[in-house]
Amino acid sequence: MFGALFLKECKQTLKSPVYLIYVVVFVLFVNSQLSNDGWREMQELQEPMPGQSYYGETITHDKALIMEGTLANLMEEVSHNSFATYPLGFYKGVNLTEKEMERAKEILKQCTGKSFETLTYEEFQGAMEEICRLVGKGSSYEKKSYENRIYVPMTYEQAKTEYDQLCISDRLTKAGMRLFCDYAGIVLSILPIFIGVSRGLYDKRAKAQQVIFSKSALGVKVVLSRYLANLTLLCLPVFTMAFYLQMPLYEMAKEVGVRGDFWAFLTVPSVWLLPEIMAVLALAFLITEFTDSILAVFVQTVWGIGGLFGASTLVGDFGLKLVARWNTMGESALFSSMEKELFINRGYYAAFGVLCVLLTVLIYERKRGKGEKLYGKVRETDH
Amino acid sequence: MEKYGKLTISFVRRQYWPHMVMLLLLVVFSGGFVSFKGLDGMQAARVMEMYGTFGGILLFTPLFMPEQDREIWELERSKQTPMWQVYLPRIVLALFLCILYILLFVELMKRGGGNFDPGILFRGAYCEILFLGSIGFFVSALTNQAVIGYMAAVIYFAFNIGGGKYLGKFALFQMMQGEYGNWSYWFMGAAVLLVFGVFMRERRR
Repeated sequence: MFGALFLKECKQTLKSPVYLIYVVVFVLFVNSQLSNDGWREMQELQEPMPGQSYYGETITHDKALIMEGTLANLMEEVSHNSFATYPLGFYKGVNLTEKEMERAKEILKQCTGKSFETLTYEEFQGAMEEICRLVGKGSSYEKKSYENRIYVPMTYEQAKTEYDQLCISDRLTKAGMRLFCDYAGIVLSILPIFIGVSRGLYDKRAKAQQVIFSKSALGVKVVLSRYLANLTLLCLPVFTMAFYLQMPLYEMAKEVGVRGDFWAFLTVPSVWLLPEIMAVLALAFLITEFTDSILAVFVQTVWGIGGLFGASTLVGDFGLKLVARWNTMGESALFSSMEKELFINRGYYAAFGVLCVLLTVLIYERKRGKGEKLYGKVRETDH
Repeated sequence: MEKYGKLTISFVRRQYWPHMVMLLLLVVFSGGFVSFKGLDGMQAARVMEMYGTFGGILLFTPLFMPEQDREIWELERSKQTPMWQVYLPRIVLALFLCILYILLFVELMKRGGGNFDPGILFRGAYCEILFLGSIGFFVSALTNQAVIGYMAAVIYFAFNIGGGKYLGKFALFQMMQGEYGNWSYWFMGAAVLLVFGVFMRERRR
C-alpha cells in the first residue's frame, strides 16, 4: 500500500513542470559554480615548501591583530558613514546622524590614539559595544563577528598542517564535497519550497481532495508517502551532481598520491544538505496544508534569502543558520573544530523537518474529519 | 463600469487580499531589513531594487488565480464580457497599488533625510518592479499555475545577483550601480509580457 502510494507520488512529481524547472536550475547553478573551473584551487594544490613567499591565509585569534583589523574596518566605515549590518539576516546599510557620527569618531579616536600595546582588549571590547549601540544589531563590531573575521597570512607550519589534513583526514574528496554542499545549499534553501507548495495544492487544483479523503489509506501514509517521494526526487539530482562533480576530484587525488574517499558524494551531502531539504520541504508542506494557499512561497523565500545574506562569514559560523556556508576548499583544521556545531545545526533541522511532517499529518486528518476545510464555513457543496 | 467594479471587488475579496496584506507587511517590516536614514541616490536605489522589487512579484503574479480553476474560467468564457476585459481592471488595480507602494517607500526615504531625486528614482523603480512582476504574470499566464510564476520571478531575481551581465538591458539592480537609463527597456519588456501574457493565455486554452 505504502509502496504503491510512494511510486504514484514519484510519477506525479516527475511529470510536474515545477520539478523539471528545479532540476534544470539546480544543475545549471551548481555546474556553473563548480565544474572544471570550480576545482581550480584544487588543481593548483601543491605541497607547501619552506621558503615560499606566500602560503595562503587563515583566521587569527591574536587579540592585537583582531583590534588592528577591526579598527581599520571601523575607520573605513566611519569615513564613508556607511555601516554594514545584518539585523534580520538581510544586509542593511546604516548611515549615522551627525551627532552619532561625532560619537563614533570620538570612540575611534580614543582607540586609535593609543598604541596597540597600551589599548587593552577590555577597553577595545567596551568601545566596540558602544559602536554596536550606535549602528544597531548585526554589525562587524559584535564580539562574535570580529573574533572570527580577521585573516592573516599562514606560516609554513600552518600551511603544511593544512595540506596534511586536507590529504589525510579529508582525502581531498571530502573537502571538495563540502564546497559542493556550500553552493548547493544556497539553491536548496529556496527551490524545494515550490515543489512542496505545488504538491500541497495539487489535489485542490485537480479537485481530488474529497476523493482522496474518502479512501481508506491512513493520513499518515498519504502524507508520508508524498513527503518521502518528493524528498527522494529532490535528493536525486543532488547526489547525481555530487557524484558527477566528485569524479575529476577523485582522479586528481590519485594523481597526487592520495586515496580519495569515494563515498564522500553520499556521506557529506547526506549530513549537510539532506536535513536542509527535509526542513524546507516539510515546512512548505505544513504551511500549504494549513492555509491551502501559496503563503509558504513568501514566508520561506524570505527565510531562505535572509539566511543567505545573513551570513557574517562564508566559512563556518553555523549557529542555527539554514544555509551552512563553507565557501572554501579545505580549511580542514578549522572545519574539525566546528564539526560539532554543524552536527547540532543539521540535527536541529532534521528534527524540525520531522516535526513539521507530523504536524502536517495532524492537520490533514483534521481536515479530513471536517470535510476539506480546516476553518471557516463548510460550503453546501462539500456535503 | 459597475460590472467591472463588481468583478474586481470579488477578485480582491476571494483571491487578492492576502497578497495585499503581504505587501503591507513588506512595507511595515521594511525597517528591519533596510535603513531609511540619510540615503544618497545609489543607496535609495538599493532599497528599491533589492527589497522593493518583491512587491512587484506579489502584485502581478497572482492576477490569474481565479481562472486557474477551469470551471470558473469556462463559466467566465461563456459570458458576453471578453476575458481581457475581466483581466484588465485587475492589472489596472495592481498598477495603481504599485504606484502607492513605491510612493510610500520614497516618502519614507525622504523623511529619513534622503538626498536623491525622487522623480528619477520613482520612474526607475516603477518600471523595474513592474518588469519583475510581469515575468511572474507572464509565466503564470502560460502555465496556469501561480506557483510557477512565483518560481520564475524569484529565479530571475536571484540570477541577477550574480548573472546580471548576461541579461543586457533587462538586467535588474542597475540603478544602485548608478545606471538610470534602463527604465525604458524594463517598461517595454513589462508591456510586452503583460499583453502577450493575456493574449497567449486565452489562445492556448
